[in-house]
Parts: sequence; structure tokens; C-alpha cells
Amino acid sequence: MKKIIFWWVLLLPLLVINTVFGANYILNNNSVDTSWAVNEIRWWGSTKYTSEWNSVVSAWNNYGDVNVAPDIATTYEDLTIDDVYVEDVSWAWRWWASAGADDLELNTWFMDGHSYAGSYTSSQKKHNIGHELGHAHWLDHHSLSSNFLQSGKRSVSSLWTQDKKDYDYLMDNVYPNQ
Amino acid sequence: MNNKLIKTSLISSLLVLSVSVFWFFGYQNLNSTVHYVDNNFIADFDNDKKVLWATDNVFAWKVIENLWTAEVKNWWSKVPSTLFKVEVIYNIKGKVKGEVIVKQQAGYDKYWDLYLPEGTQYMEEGQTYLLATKWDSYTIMAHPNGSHLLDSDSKKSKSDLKKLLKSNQKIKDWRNAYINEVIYENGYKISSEKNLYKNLTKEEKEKFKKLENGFID
Repeated sequence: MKKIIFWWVLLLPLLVINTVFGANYILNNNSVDTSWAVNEIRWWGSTKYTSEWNSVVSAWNNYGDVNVAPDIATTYEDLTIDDVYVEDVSWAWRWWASAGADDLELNTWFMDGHSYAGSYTSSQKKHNIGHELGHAHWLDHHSLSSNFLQSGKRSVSSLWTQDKKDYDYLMDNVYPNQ
Repeated sequence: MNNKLIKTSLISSLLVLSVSVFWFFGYQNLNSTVHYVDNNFIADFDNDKKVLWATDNVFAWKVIENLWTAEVKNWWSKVPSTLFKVEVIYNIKGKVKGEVIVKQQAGYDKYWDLYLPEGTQYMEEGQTYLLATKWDSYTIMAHPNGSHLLDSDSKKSKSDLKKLLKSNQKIKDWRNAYINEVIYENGYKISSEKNLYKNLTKEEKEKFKKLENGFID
């Protein structure tokens, strides 16, 4: 009996730690093209939030193996980005997987503050873009604070603990081209 | 050229044509896929209060007809929307009556692929829903907590539906959320201006207290 109690006392904290800190948030879709012995997301389209876009693309590129870069004549487009202006909705941005290039839309109605919800600061716009690029990388969202993949209106300008943990997991276990 | 050769050529041509037609219309449809759209919302709409703050009209209705119409303004996006004719049964926020046209941010494209906001379902004729909508277009909130299927039985009578609605917990939760509306959060105004509870008259607030008063006769 003493032995059982001893092991429970020893293992219980580990179980709790694993439950709380051990989860990975991974989607079942992504925009990463792995077909040419590289991991890359070639994007095409335009957004008025150029400085925020470039800053966030650099943040993802500086951390991991997936190269996010503009689509050129010799590559395939993996992601299309667009600014849209939609008033009768409650989303500020969205991403979805398609048969061809996946899509990322940024709703200028909310981002520029035309709505009752107020405008987005530069770091909130970066969070929007970083969040959707996270989905394009295969990461799912959650409610852990300070991360790109935390849902909602947040001020986040760079990858944080859970973003890195999930990205590390993908690089170690999922992306085929290491 | 003899008759047999002509006959064989004709049959072969028809066969090739049939296979082509099947591939173009049939095969593509058989392979239609569902594209789950990940929307990122302006607030945490898992919270009922925020759903009520951010929408203009909240009511229960029965789907009469799928009008299959993608909205005219849809040129900006690849995600189709569908219009539905619905009959209003019960109002929580706003005073909508009779049959109205509502818009779901989901639908089929020309390849018969379905675009659906993550965590939601495509509405079907005969079903009864509790839904939160925005603007005069009655656009249904794309968040999973913006729409709730109350009943799937298209033959259920109105009085049976009323009984069902009276005992529904979500209706009670949303009524309570409406009364306790908060317009600002962390310094941001997240509320819509329309049909706010604070703007109801004293008589309207008194009337709202009785759940039965929300039903449309």
C-alpha cells in the first residue's frame, strides 16, 4: 500500500504537468507545400497592412523551417491573401483550406475601425496576420495568452511559448523535409 | 464505309461523350468537399452575453425554404452565402414578425463544394433554430454559439414547438444575457446600437420579464 501511495505522490504531479503543458494544438489542414523537397508557403495577393504582414512573415521565417515567400513564376501558389470589406459579420479575419491555393482574408471594416468595435492597433493587426499564418502552418487556435494562436482581439507581435512548442512539434514530427 | 463501321463509330462516340459528361458533372460532384472556414472573431463569443451584445436581432425560427441564392455582394469572397426564407416563432432581441429572409455565411460553390464556418452546420428546410443575426440582412453570426438547432422535426406543430422553446435552457440563458447587456469591454465598445435592452421602454421591459411574451402569434 505504501508503495502505491509513494508512486502516486511521485507520478500525480507529472500527470498534471503533462495535461496542462503537454498538449499540442494542431489542425487537420494547412497551406505548407512539401512537394519539392522543401517546406514552403508561396503566397500571392495583396493587403494594405504591408508592414504588419512583412513583420509577421519574418517572425515565422526566423523561427522555423517553413519558408514563407511571395509566389514567383517557377513556384506554385499555396496561399492567396486579400483585404475584404464586410459589414454584417463579426469576424475580423479568416482562413480556409481549398483544393488549389488556400485563402486568407482580412476584414478592413473591423481592422480600420469603421465598426462599433473600434480600430485595431498595429500589434493587434500583427496578431490577426500571425494567427492566420499559424493556421497556414498547420497550427490550431486555443485560449493560451500571449500567443499568435490565441483567439480574439489581442496585441501580439511575435511567436510565444505555445506557438513555438506546436511549431517545434510539427518540425520534428510532421513536415517531411527536414 | 459499311453500316457496321458507322454503327461502331457512333456507339464509340456516344460512349466517350457519356464518360466525359459523367466526369464533368458527376465525378466532380461525387468528390465535392467541405471547406471549414476558420473565422477569427472580434470578441469571445463563447460568452452568451457577448453574442447578445454584438448582434441586432435574436430569435427562434423555422426554416421554410432554402433559396440557394448567393448574395450579390459576394464578388469579394470565394465563400458563398445562402439565403433562407424563415418563419419567426419567438423573439428575444428585436421585434421581427412573419416570414423574413436570413443569410447564412455558408453555402455551395459551382463545384458543389460546401463552405462552412468551423463548428456550425448548414441549415435545412423544416428545422427550427435559435439564431443571433446582424444588420437588416439578418446575417447569422458564424460563431458556433451564434446558432443552435432546437428541433429537426419538420412536422412538429407550432404549439409543440412553443412547448419545446419554453423549456429550452439556451433561450433562458440568452434572455438573461440580453437583460444583463454590457456595451463596453476593456475600453472597447463591442455592442451593436440596435435593439439594446437599455433603450426599451419601462412597459417593454416589464413585458419582457414573461418568457411567453416573446412568442409571435
